[in-house]
Amino acid sequence: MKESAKNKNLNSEKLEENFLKENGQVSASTHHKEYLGMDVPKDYFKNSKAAILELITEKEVKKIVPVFYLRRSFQVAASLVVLVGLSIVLRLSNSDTINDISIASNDLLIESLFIEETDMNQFANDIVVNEIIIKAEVYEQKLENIFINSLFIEDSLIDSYTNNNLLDNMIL
Amino acid sequence: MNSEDKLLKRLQIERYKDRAFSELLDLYQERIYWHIRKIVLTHENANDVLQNTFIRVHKSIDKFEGKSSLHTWMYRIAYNESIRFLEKEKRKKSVSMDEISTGYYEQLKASEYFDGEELHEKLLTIIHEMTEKQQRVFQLKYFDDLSFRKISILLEVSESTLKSSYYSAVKIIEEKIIL
Repeated sequence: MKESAKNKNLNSEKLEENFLKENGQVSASTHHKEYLGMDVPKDYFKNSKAAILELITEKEVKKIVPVFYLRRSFQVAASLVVLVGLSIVLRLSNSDTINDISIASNDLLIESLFIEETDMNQFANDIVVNEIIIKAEVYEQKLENIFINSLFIEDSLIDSYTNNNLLDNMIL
Repeated sequence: MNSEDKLLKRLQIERYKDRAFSELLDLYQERIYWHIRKIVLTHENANDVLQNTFIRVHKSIDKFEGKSSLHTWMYRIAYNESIRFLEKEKRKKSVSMDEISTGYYEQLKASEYFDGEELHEKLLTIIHEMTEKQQRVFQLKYFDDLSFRKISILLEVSESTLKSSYYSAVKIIEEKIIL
């Protein structure tokens, strides 16, 4: 008991002697333990490092969002695909010639597989011209039908008839 | 380019970041911990604040422009996190900052991570009784071994004011402990 009290006194004297004299010579933990009596649990810094790294990984995992949401260009591209797809579907659904056109398109697609690369431009031009001509003919035919039908409709109904059918078809 | 600059460069490149961050922890974790511990006093508080500090460092390292050294920048974050912690506790318990500090001082004395020697208690009491500026300057200079220039950046106080606070703190301690 006396021995320990004596040791304690010696330590205190040594502390008083060195305090404010030795600076930056020993590790931070030793320095703080020696002069302030503050301590840390055993292996604290090793465990703390692991805990911090784990916390950071957890936070990063939480932060990860699907790649789709990361790139704005993906969103724009997806919107464009939807818009183009929708417009094609709507356009085709409004046409009476949907089957004819799709059959013609399929034939053209199959035909295009056998075309040489050098002739591709010419082939593409032909398709565009053909499609325009086919569509123009179809619309012309429809307009004629509308006018013929209108001959059988009473005068009082002609306005609404043109509103509902003629204008729609002309616009389309 | 010194080793700290090289480490910073690697920290700011995504594919080297994890490895570099682990090295950063090896280098600075202990010193930052002690910087925090002297402000929040108990080990449990210091542990929480240390984690918050390094999470913030990791999050903000890409934006760090290198206007001060990496070391000083991290000390600044640690200091701010410690003060934020105390402010939060103050609001939570609706008491003054002094009361919070005294409360933690009492908790520290009762803690298993404090050896309770008479001299340590005496020194802590003396430091605790100093003005806040004297406390911070003395701790940063004496225990963390920072230069006056770094402390001046950290606390946003001129070097001459810091020097005067430090030497008056040393004088108080000498009078009360050594002499």
